[in-house]
Amino acid sequence: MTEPASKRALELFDQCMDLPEDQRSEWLAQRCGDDTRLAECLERLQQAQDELGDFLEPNRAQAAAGEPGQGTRIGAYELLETLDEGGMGAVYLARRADDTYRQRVAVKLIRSAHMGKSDLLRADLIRRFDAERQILAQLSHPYIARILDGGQTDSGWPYLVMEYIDGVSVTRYCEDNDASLDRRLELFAQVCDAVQEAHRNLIVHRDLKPDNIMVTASGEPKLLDFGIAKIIDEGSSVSSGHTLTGFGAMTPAYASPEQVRSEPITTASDVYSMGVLLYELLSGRRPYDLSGSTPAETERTVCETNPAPPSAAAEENADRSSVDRRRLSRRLRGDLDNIVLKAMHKSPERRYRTAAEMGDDLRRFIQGQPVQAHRDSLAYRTSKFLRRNRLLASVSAAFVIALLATTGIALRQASEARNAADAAAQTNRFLFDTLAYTDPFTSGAEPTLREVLIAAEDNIAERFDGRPALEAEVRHTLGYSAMSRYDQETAERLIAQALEIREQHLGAGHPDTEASRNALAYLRYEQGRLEEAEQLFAAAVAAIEQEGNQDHPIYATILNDYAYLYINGYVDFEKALPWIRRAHDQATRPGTRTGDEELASMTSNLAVVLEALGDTEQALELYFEAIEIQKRVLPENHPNVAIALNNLGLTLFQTGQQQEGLEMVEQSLEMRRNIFSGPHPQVWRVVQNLSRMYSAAGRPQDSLRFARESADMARALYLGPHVNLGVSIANLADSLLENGDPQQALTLLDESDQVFSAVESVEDYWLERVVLLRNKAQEEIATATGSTQ
Amino acid sequence: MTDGVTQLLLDWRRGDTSARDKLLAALYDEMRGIAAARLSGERADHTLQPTALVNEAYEKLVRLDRIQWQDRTHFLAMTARVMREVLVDHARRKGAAKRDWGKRVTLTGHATPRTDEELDLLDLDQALSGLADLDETKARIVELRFFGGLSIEETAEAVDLSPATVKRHWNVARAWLYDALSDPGQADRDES
Repeated sequence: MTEPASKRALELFDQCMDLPEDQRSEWLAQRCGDDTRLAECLERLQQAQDELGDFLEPNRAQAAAGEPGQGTRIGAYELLETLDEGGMGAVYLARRADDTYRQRVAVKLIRSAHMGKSDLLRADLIRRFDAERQILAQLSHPYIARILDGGQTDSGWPYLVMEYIDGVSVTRYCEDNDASLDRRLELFAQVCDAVQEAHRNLIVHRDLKPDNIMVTASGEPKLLDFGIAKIIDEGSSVSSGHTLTGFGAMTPAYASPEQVRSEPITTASDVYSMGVLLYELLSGRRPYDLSGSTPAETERTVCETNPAPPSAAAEENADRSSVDRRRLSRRLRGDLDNIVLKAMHKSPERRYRTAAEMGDDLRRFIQGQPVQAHRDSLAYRTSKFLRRNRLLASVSAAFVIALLATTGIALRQASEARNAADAAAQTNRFLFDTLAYTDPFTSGAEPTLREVLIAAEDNIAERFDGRPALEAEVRHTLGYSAMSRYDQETAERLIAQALEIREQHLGAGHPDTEASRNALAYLRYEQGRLEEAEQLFAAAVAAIEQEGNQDHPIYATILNDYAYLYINGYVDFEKALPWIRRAHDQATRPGTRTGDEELASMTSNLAVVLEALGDTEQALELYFEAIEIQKRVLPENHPNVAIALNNLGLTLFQTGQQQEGLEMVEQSLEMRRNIFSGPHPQVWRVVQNLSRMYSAAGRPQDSLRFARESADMARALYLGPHVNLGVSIANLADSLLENGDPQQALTLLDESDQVFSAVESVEDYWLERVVLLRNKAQEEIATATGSTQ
Repeated sequence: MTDGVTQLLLDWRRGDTSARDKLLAALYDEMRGIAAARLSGERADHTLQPTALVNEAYEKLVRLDRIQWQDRTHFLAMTARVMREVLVDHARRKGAAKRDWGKRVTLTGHATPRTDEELDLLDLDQALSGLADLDETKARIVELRFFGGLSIEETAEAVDLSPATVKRHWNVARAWLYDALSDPGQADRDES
């Protein structure tokens, strides 16, 4: 048994790392003396270090997973070595592969785990990433590392190419050079200049810390990663329904109270982080000792306790001699204490309003002029801060994505960039408060989405007072979301209000107004109020045409939804055909702005209609076309893919390819079960289909299994009479009869009769079917009774 | 399951330390399930990447972004230990079952002490325990980095050292482990 390198060897080996590489062997040899075993151990460790390569390095595994590593080419750049890597990305030293310049650059690869999820989300993220990159690329300041280039790798990861800064962190620089207090202040004032320039461009850093403030060999500061935290945050938040703030990339020690509480981040948050940095640079310590703190303790410390002034901290710094300590402490006391504490004020509005003001104060101090910062009044200091726990509750990701996406679009059209930023902030703030309301601390249990929506609704009017376009947008979106969650009551209220506001402020025929009208029409359809739905759809189409807004994609959407009413509501394919054709024509004409996703729906709907009217060949072609589009643009488990699969499956089934058809519809069902948990009309429809299909395929037992599930689900879904409930019950009766239970079938047929008599627009097929089934059941009962007598 | 974990996280945040233990237990179960699902596929060449597994566990357990950022590091750090236990435990059982086939669960994507071999997880685990006897911080850092998939910065946050110090520990630890694993006599010392 060989003993592992002893503890002593490990210690020595560790210590020798401080030395330049070529001096290590000699230093170690001296320490070993006659101890040959120790020398042997150390030699082995040195050898291991030489051979080590990427042993155990996490980025190796990622390279194996098809992500870039050393030697990979990204765009025009060849990666030379890994500078840093972490959960959210990696930074590489690189050079232009074509060697046109000998310039070294840093390539930052954004690699959020969430980005791998679906092509659609990723495409969206990359769009945002590119937009952000354009903004960052315009940021030009001698003290800010420039963004040079960017794009996405072959495997679809976004990357940024930045100026490579050969330097050390600002804290390290000051330490290594034993920088004087004035030098530190001068350097920091330059940092303020750089931050100011970024803020002027509305770019917030969000993650200012020593590692992001480099100092070059010539003594110039260079700030890295401006705005990157935001990009990374968005990368990780879109898919998880949280885009409000940016805690993902922040380093706790430098985080402001608002960041700790996940509240919206502003330029004031950067000012706070600079305060912490300056505190550390001046006193040699950080304001708070967060080591070993639980998250709750960290939050409490940062939000509720006041740090000792830097002068007091300097006095406790054991790294310096007592004389040094006292001298430094004296210089910090007063103005510099006040400057740091002002920047670090817990409430953002009490901090320096800009980074420039902070820099100015520092320069005033250097020149011996009076500074602006002074201590808080006692009254202010004793005032308490409300501590609020900000944990997001269980709101579905899709819900928030929908909100943010649509709001964003409307904003882009509604106002100019500045306005938009302001409006977006308001909307986000509102969303945030809504989500924060659903704080599990206060409510005890995780709230349902219904509760969240209702909570949101209460605040809309107040929050968006004087911003009708925004108010309508939020109501519309929340309403739409409620509808898709089958909270019709809430949906109706919100959408009707949105429509009213839009009619008043934008007028009829405006795409937004008609989008709301369309939503209301669709809701009426869902409620089974078909005639009202029909009138609303017709009105929306007419209004758009009246205003000449046919080019707007909402027009095709309305036409499609209108056709949908005839397809699924009235089940009148003749009537549906002209509308769905117009929708499809609109969506495929040159210059169309209809998205692929919607085009796929329309193509699929057209196929349904054509098939029903007997044009199976054309229908099949369109189904395949629709599925092709969907597979390209949608995530795997998307409801629309499930719908297309169902439709195609049915068509195949009916054209004699029963097995293929059944498989496809089963696949569609599985997808839907993944998407919707519990009873949902989308799941119900396919369960019901499968029951019918298995019956037609001569497999009564399978049919019965689905028939039972269908009826159970319909009972859970429809509390009052609804045609789908009647159909489910009649179908279960049918299936029971098929499986030899006429008695129970008869009971169910009575029930379905009751339901059908209470609703309009029941397909003749089912009305006739119920009569037929009743006769058959009675006949069988009679025969059975007869045979036993 | 997921709701339970969320509740435990909340309790933990409020300072209930028993919630932390329960959370660990829940994590352990969940990850063992994931590891088993991954490994019990029919394909003979199944391999595992700890980082990918950890990510999957997050996805399953709790939406990571619902945890505040301070929790995140704590959570990641906790997961690292659980991950190690799960993987090693799995490797052990799998190794026992497959001994006749002469193949253990291996990790891909790592340069290995001997060029043609793959890193043996059980050996690594054992070597890591050996390292912990000499220098616990280094062993913990390896655990966080390798099993938890934490970046240098996140690791620094978790062990409350500067990133530079963590990087140095990490490099020394890697050399030590590389050496330990290069010598079969060492890695197998408890088995002989």
